[in-house]
Order: sequence, then structure tokens, then C-alpha cells
Amino acid sequence: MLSFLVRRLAAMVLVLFAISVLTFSIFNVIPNGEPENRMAGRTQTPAQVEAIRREWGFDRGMVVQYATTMRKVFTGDLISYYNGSRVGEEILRGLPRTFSLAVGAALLWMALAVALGLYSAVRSGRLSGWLTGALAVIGISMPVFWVGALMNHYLGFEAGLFPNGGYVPLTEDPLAWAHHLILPWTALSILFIGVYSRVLRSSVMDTMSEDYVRTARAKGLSEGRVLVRHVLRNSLIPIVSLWGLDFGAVLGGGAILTETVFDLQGVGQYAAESIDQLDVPPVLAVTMLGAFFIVVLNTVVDVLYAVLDPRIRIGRL
Amino acid sequence: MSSPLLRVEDLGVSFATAEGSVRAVDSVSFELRTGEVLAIVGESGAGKSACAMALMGLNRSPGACFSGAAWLGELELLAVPDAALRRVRGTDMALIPQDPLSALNPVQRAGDQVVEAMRAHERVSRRAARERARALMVSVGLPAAAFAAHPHELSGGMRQRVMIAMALSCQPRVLIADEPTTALDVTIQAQVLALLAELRERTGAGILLVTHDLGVVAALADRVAVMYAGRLVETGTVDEVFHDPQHPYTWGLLGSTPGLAGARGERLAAIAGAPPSRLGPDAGCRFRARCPHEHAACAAMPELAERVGPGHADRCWLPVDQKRLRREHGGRIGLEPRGIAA
Repeated sequence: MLSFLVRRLAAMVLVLFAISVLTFSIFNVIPNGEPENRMAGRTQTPAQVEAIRREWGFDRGMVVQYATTMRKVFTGDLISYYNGSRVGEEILRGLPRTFSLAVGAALLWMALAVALGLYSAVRSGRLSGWLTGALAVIGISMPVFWVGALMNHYLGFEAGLFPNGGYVPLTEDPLAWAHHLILPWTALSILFIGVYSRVLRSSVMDTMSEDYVRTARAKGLSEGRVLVRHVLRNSLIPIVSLWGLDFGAVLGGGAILTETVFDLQGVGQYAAESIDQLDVPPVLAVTMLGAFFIVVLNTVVDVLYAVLDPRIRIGRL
Repeated sequence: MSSPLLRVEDLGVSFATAEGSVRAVDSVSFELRTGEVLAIVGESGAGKSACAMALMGLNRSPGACFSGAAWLGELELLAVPDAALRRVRGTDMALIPQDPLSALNPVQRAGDQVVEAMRAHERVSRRAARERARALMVSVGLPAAAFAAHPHELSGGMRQRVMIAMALSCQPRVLIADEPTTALDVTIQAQVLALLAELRERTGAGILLVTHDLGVVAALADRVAVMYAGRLVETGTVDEVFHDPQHPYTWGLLGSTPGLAGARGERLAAIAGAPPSRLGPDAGCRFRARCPHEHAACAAMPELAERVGPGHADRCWLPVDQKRLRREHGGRIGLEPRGIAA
């Protein structure tokens, strides 16, 4: 297990390096025109462009450019040339908000998707199974900006049950924190619950026809124990891998719509606003951040696989 | 004679399909006594497994329909609700499955699966159950290290021993072994058969052995029930059925088995044709279409009756002397000889 972990971590570092090269190329090498012009954004002056060229090394070799860009990204040296703010500080301000959204929503959607998926698999062929299956499809079909706006309007604005957007830090007031986040968590989870419960449902139904499930029944185990110990554990792998990707993406600011609809001012909303202003440095930083979280979460998922299924531990990388 | 452990009367199993109801098992009756090995033999699709699974209640589903009765002591297995049946499974009656790799949970340690079987029925501490499981696993010939191994780390024979240990965990009176050696290679087959024979001696459990392998029957069974297309066609002791088979299907089955058939170097015979469809009603004897001895009477279904002596029953209209004559004269008469495909 230890050598498995070491191998996975080494692979993760390699992937992160490859992603940084790729991101650098996408932002600074591949597009037409001068990178310093794009960097300077809408409100550029010739002097600023010249300064950026020298500071980022755009007049020097590719390796120097790459090294400078990465140094700026990783040391928080990045400055928005649109409004002069420090990108690192902005991201640090947004991260707790994004984390709060991501962690709560990920727990919520996993728990509900497992419950719903298991239920609709066990009840398949009956009306209740069909209804839960239909519910999942309805969830998949509702876009976040629409559900979010409806929730905000009816539950927040008209009924007054929830605050109209915004965020309160957990350390300041845990109740207000949760109160502000209930709607965003729910809105973000609805889509994922739909997708995950469908995936889990089909994987549970496959597992239920396995011989070892018959063995478990032949041992005289209760149906609940058969489901949890023998069916569910063997059915989790597909949704665990989905979860790694989605949770990583949301952590890295991927829930742009949810953050914006509920005005959470997280990393995703920051990225969206920067894109609006053609402000390249923040977008570069958020892209790297998102890639980082996705890679890290995928490593976590690989470790989870190994915990869930001992057969995976012997495989290479 | 003691009363039987398991008494099956007129068991029928049918499954609803898109084409209609398929009768997998039809009016099957047999008894299993303490310490006895009864083999149910037949080709694939004969209904032997459906029959065994019906006793365990493992093929209950919305599309399955059961008739007749199966008594395990005072309990009628077909009539009891799932919850009551669950208490019987593993305790009074246990299953040894066909393919031990797919029958073991891949993500659970072998020992834990045995422990789980114990703790499903008995109030024992985890520690005590572990000790008992460890001892049980050693007693069926597993190394001590097998306890903490995952199924993929064990060999085929060891996996089947784990399944046997699991089946024995609550000292069942009836063991249902569904093709217990089919997925194993020949040397391991012999070991597992020896283990089953030893268990029968040691525990006195009755074993219902479902197989298509007549070699396994000869090695282990006391009595045989030959099944064809959902019905029993011949029952008797192993001696009676192997040395004085009464039903032409049994002749064919014996004739197509290496080692049991004629002299060395002789070609094995195959039974021509395929088993009939079991949708719709019967048109007489089910073996009729493949039987070289078919005659007018075969248009009606023969009864399973003791025609040669007590305990030896068959389902064939041919007069007993005719059968002997035909069997002796034709060798494996009328059964089309075919080379074995390489």
C-alpha cells in the first residue's frame, strides 16, 4: 500500500508539471499576437506593455518565459493589470467561499445520490423505482442558473426564508454560514444527484446479479446487510471516479454559475468576472488552481479505489 | 429407516419470459437422508440448478412460479416467507456454488466472509467467530494465511475450500453443492471430492450434489437422479443406474462419458439432437424426439415408476426385457456415434 501511495504521488507531480507546460502554452505561446498585449488587458498603455514584456521575459527564450510565469503564479506575484489588485490575495479571499460551497455540496450530492440510486435499483421494475429514476432525469435536465434563480426568487426574496445571496465566514457565525449556503448547496447538488444516482443505479443492478451476492443471500444475511456490505461497496467505483473529477473542478472554481447566481464571490465568480474584463493574469492563476485540484482529487480517488478494491493495489500506477 | 432430512414432492419451477412461461422443473420428487449423497445429473439446462436454487429460495423473483412442496424437517421451504427462509439458509442448509471465484466477494477478506456467515446466525463475539473460522478453514485444508487473504490471492482449489468452510460455518444438515468441481482443474477436483466425502463422514450432513459429471457421481454419490428437460427420468442407487440403466437417456449419458463408456480407443457416442423447448404443453415423453427406441406409447408421458425393483425408478414405456435386449445388443444402441471435436 505504501509503495502504491508513493507511485501515485510521483505520478501526480509529473501530471502537474505537464499541465503547467500546457497552460503556459495555451496562454502565452499558442495565441496569435504578443503575449504582453493580452496580459495588459483592455486598459493598456504602451509603457505598461513594455514593462510587462521585460518583467515576464517575453523578449527572451521560452524556458525563461515559462519559469517566470510559474514563479509568478506560485509566489502570488501575479498582478491584475486591469485594476492593479494582487491575484493571490483575491484568490485567497475567494477560496474559503468556494471550499464551503464545494465541500457541503459534495457531501450532500454523494449522500443523496447513493440513497436515491440504491433505492431506485432495489425498486426497479416497480412504480417507486421508475419514479425515482424519473426524478433523477428531471434533476439532470434543470440548469443551475435556472434552478438557482428560482430558489433565490421564491425561497429567498418572496418567502424570505433565506438571505439573498452573499456569504458569512464559518468562523464568524456557523449558523449564518450554513444559512447562506443551503440554497447554493442544493442548487449545485441537484444536477450531480441526478447524474450520480443514474450511474449508481446501473452499477448496483449489475452487481446484484453477481454470484457473490447470491452467496451472501445463501449465507442467510439480511437484505440490508447484503445491499450495504456486498452490493454497495462493489458498486461505488464508478461514482467515486466521477466524484473526484467533479469535486476537484468545483474546488478549483468550476461552479461559476452557482457562485455567480448566489453572489458567493468565490474563485469561480472571480474567474468569470476576470474573463469579462479580458484580465489574463487571474484567469491564468485560476486555471492552474483548477487543474491542481482536479489532479489532487484524482490521486485521492486512486487511493480510494485501492481501499475499496484490494485487487487494484497490485496494479502498476 | 430414519425420516428424511429433505423431502421434495412434485416440485415445479417455471419462469415467465417474453415468449411465455418456461417450465424449468416439472414434478420432481426425491428424498435426502442423513449422511447421504444424492446426485442430480443432467445436461446443461435440464433444470438441476433451478431445482437446487428453488430449495434455497435463491431464484425467487417476480417472474418465477413454484409448485409442489419441499420439506426440510417440519419447514415447507416453498411456502415460508423470505425472512423465515433466511434463518434456514446457512444454518440448516448451505450452498457450495459452482464457480468459487465469482461466488466470493472480491473486496472482502476470505476469513471475514466465513466470519460473516457465522455471525449472521449465532450470537458470537467477533473474536470468538474469528477463532472458529480460522480453525474451520484449517480443517478444510486451507493454510492459516488464507484467513487474511483476498479471494484474488487464492488459487481455485483454495477458493472452493473457502466456500466449503463458509457453508460449514453453522453446521448445516443439508449441503447443496451446485457443480462444486466444474470450475476446477482435474487434480483439484479430486481433492475437493475427497474433502466432501470426508465431510459427509465427519458431519453426517446430507449432500445434494448437482452435476453433469458422471465421474463425480461415481466418486461421491450413493444415489442418482437423472434429470432430462426438467423432469426426473431415472432414479436409483449409483450401482443400479450405472450398471443397469433403464432409460435410453441414461444410456446415452453413460455412453458419452469417457472412462464409463466402452473399451479404450472406442469412439464416444453423442446423443443426437437437442432438448425440447419447454414453452407450451408436453407432447408425450420429452426424450421422444431424440430417442432411437421411440414407439406409439411414447405419445403419452410415462410415469416415473419402479419397473425393475424397489428404489430403482425410470420414466420409459419400453418393457423391461426389451430394454435389456436393446441395451445389450446395440451396445449404446441407436445413439449416433460421433467423433469428439478436438
